[in-house]
Amino acid sequence: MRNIFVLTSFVILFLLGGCEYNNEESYHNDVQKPEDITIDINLDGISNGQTIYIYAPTKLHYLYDFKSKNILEHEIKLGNEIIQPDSDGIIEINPERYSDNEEIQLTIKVELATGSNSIAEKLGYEKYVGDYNYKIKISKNASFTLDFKDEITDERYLKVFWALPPLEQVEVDYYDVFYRDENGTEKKVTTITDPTQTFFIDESYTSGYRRYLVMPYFKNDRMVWQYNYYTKQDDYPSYNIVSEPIGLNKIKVTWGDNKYRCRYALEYLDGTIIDCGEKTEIEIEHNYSFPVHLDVKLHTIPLDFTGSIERTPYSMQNITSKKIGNIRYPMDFDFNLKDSQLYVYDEGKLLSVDLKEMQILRSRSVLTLWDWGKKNLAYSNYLEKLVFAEHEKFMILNKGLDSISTVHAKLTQGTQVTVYSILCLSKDNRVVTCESGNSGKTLKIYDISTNKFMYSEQLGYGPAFLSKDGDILCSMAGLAIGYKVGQTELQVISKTKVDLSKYKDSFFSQFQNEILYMIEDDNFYKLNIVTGERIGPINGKFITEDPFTGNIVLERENEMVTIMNFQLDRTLLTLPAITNIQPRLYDNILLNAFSGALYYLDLKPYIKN
Amino acid sequence: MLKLRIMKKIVLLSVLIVICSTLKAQLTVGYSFGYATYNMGEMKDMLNSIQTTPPASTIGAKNMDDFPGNIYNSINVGYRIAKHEFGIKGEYHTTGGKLSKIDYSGSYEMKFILNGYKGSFYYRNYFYTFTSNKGKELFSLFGEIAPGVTFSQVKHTGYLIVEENTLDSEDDKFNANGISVLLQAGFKYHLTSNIGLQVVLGYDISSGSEFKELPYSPNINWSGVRLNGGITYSF
Repeated sequence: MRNIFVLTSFVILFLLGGCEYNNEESYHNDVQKPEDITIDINLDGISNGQTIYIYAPTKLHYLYDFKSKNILEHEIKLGNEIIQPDSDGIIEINPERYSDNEEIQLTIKVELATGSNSIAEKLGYEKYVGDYNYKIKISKNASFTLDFKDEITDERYLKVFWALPPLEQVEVDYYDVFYRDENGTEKKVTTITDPTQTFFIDESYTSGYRRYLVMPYFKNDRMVWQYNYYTKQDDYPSYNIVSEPIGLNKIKVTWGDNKYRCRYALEYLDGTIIDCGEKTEIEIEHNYSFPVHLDVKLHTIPLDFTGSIERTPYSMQNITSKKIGNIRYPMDFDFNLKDSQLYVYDEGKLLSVDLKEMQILRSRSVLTLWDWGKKNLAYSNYLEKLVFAEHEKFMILNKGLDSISTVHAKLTQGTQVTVYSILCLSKDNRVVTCESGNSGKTLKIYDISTNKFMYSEQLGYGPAFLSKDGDILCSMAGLAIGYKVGQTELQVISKTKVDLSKYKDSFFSQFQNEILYMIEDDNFYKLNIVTGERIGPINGKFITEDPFTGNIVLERENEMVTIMNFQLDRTLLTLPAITNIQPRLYDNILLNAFSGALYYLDLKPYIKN
Repeated sequence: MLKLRIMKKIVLLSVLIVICSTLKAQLTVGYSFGYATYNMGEMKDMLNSIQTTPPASTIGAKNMDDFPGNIYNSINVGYRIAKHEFGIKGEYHTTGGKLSKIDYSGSYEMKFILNGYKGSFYYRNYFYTFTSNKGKELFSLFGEIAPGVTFSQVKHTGYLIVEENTLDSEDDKFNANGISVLLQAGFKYHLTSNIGLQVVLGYDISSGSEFKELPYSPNINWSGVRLNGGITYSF
């Protein structure tokens, strides 16, 4: 029994004594779990998942914050193309490589090591991952076109402003603004550094043509800078100057304010420049002949301009004597003493003009075939009626130009257009005419009370003249033959010798019925056609007589007129005046038609009768 | 695993008991345990190769044990005639190697457990015995030789867990056999006429066992110094 016990004990000891090797000890790596971080990728401020619109060759700028972690992976993929990251952090996308409206995927993948040195990190299971995806949309036909408008600031400068086109993700960084005017030189207006400012003010614009170029530059170079043009053409009105004679040799020139603030300068055609500053009027002293008609350039100049004024915008203007309304080519005149009016035939219109206000009172259309030197109208201060010669008839009008009656003309056979060298409404209610024909001059008398032709008389080929009352006729036929215009015939009342070698022309006085001015080369004399009495000769070329005052206008020097009294014993005034177009004097108001206008100069302040 | 180990020992012991019972000799039973060193160079190289290969090298796994020498125990049943003793011996050796790393994100372990079951015959010669005046044996010096067979087993377990996901796991068992000769000498103190205490020092020369299933096909070599102490009982 003891032996079995011992044997069993040894067996048990052997069985249980040996323990299989085991080592529960493990290597614990004491590392800290890494903090949670987010990989920030800034792609021009565009959020992950957002659509990026590409309109032009674009540079997208990316910026990472790797938070000092090591980079495990950095991949940029545009569609199927892998883009190598560069040190500048730019992804270039050119829409030319794609179709319009094409969409491409842009992915940016970044993996960073956590740096924890843990098992997972070493095996690649623990890392920071940044995965950004964007949709790229190509829009090839988009343009950054600014919708321009302009206005005037309170300071009267030009302000150009615009509305931005609604293009996604396109932000203006700044604008450059230039302009080019008629001179062709490009100049810079300004650089607008505030992208929210969508206007500029050009203090240098005054008038004329200017083409502005506004070039927006975009943030992050998202679009190539674009050309945007705006043309401004705001011309100062031409022929807008008002001239007011002050005395005989001074004119006050006034013009309207320019739309935009500016200085003004007048430039004469000979290059003389008068800087007027910001004033819109100037008094110019001159010694120009009447009527004054100067072409000038009115320059509108920027306030701080220091360059050549000739190159600044301008409009053509005229500095002129005062003119009557819009009378352009007056061909015939007559006068109304009582009402101080003038009747003018001007391009198919019969006008009455108030000589006190120098304004057109009335205008009525008339029909006539105009011919040079033809008398068209005549007013009877006695009858207070006016006769106007239309084709084949005479219109009888009252002084207000209302039609009273018509007298049919007795036409001369073979004559297409009747040219009246004499047309008069006599005191005894007759229309007296003288017309030229193949057989010389023919006097015709019409009775306006019966509207009938009375009689005619052949006068020969010499000139004929009729007195203001229409009752005395003078015919030049070797002698100056005076006639009384009778009821049925002409009656010779005088014959006066005339030096035909010197004789030029005659002019019946409108002031005194029987006085005929006999005009010779360099002088003239008065002839009383009834008595044969002469006054003169007077040195000078006879121009005209004022029917209101009897003052006589003559020319003694080239383009210098002299005004004398009716008696020709006193010179009243001498002034420069154009005489190649005959001036007229009515109630001491000098008139002359020139260059499409009827100018006047009131000489009353200077003439003391 | 424990059950299997015990089963093997039971089988070995059962054979020894049957033989002893049949012979009806002066039976001596002894149990000793001691410390053994091993020549596990190739296993160490294998472990080192694994350590320097991903994933162990990637994660920086540490060698926690490198097949060190270990405690072993031995039982012998023999028959003694005068100075000669013959018998059979059974030994159990075990050692292991381990790579390990653990942190918050995962864990890695690669473990090799080596078990060596040696069955051998032994001849012991008590070449010097000191007796008392009364003729009682007090202590003896002996030399021993024990050729035998070693049944080697490798248990290979391993796993790699990252963030609670098992990426890899292994659990294999391989067996191989080899022969060896144990040479040792010892000192025995006769406590009583039946009970003795002994101290033995020797060297086991093993042929090694090649494990082709393991990486680099290493050789498990149980050769090494044996130092043990134990108790004997003579029937």
